[in-house]
Amino acid sequence: MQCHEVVELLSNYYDGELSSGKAAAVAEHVAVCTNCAAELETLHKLSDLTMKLDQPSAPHHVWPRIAAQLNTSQSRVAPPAVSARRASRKTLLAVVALVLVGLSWIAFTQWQAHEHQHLAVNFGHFLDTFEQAPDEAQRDLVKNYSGVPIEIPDAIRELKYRPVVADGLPDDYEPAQAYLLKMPCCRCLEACYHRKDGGMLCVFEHDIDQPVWFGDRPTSSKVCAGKPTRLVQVDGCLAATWQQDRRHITVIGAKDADEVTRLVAHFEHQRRL
Amino acid sequence: MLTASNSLIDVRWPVESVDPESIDDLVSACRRGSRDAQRRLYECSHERVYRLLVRMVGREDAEDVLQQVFLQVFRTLGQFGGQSRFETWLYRVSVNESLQFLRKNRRRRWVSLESDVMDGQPDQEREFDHKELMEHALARLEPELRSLFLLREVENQSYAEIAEAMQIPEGTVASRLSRARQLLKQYLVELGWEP
Repeated sequence: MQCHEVVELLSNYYDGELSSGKAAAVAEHVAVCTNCAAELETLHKLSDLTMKLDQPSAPHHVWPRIAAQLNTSQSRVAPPAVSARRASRKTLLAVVALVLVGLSWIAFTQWQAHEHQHLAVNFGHFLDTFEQAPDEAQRDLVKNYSGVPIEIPDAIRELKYRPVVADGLPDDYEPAQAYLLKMPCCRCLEACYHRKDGGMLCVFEHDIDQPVWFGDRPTSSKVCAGKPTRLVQVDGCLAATWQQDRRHITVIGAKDADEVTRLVAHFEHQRRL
Repeated sequence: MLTASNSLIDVRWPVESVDPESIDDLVSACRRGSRDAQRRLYECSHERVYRLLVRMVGREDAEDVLQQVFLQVFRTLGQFGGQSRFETWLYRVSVNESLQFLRKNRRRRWVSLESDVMDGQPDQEREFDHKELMEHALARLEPELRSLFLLREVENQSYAEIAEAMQIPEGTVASRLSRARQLLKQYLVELGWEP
């Protein structure tokens, strides 16, 4: 057997899903081929890594919720004895309801698609103008998302969590203004800073990862201070986004990947304090 | 000596000490509407479903999807003909519900990215935990490939069982699983893993 044939069968072989004849041929090849043996060893390592993953336990309060829902639906579907005429009227009503539900669903999905597009366009405009005219970019963003200026202590009360910026950024950033934005994904805190050596940096904290914000701008992945981070080229500066606990952090206006790494490390350090 | 190993860790269903006969009895009782049987069936099966869902939709949403899976199971149990094992059918419902959830919520996990487009420097973050690397690499896999990989590697399902659960031919299971492993290896290496 040649290496390319073996590599194609290796996954099946590893799972014990090959016929005995083919399995023997693969085993014979692997015994003398260091490359294919290394590939097989990698499959073992992938399994080892997978088995080491945390095994989270389900919360205890799910069954009562399921039972309550089942009780509700059971009481809803209790079948009364009905006359044929009433039954046909019910059928007609059901058909009408089904059509209305269908139409509502179409309208909802169109609205959802529109919101998605709307979000991409608005944020795209913010990114397009951010570097050249940050004040204008900021004004439009706040207008588009019904943003209100907010102090951090008020933001903590409103959002019911402590944002990552609550304990400040490193000394070379001066706070400018924070805003609470009503975005389709969530209420999002945006905190803006002036960099002492010039330029502006905005930090967004949001519930859901938002790749749509960046459209088709050049993107790469990098581990920054231990966190997988998506870096996006926005004209002459960088945007970066990563997950911090249960939320996502996005910074706009970083000079380079080193600055992103410092910020990720800073927030991680603050979290551990 | 390297050998094929799919029997190193046998974590097959039902791990919660319920024998298959009891499962069949429970399923029958559930069909008759016994709330107690439904609770017991949930008790003996929900942990494995939850573990799968956490990696499919994320910890934050796994609880809601778990609820949806079991509501769907109890509402459609009449459609389960018993041709496959209940376990396989439950995995099918779980995978379907999680894929539907992801589609509805337009959840995008770690998008497929070219590595280091802007920065060719190798990562220096060697302290990054291998377990976390694996979580992130898994999150980058397409949901269909991820569910298939998890059914094989975590739930220890055979190709035939996965084919049944995902309603695809066994040959497709084999080729997609091979693809999933190649991609995982690639993503892990991009994140700094050394095989």
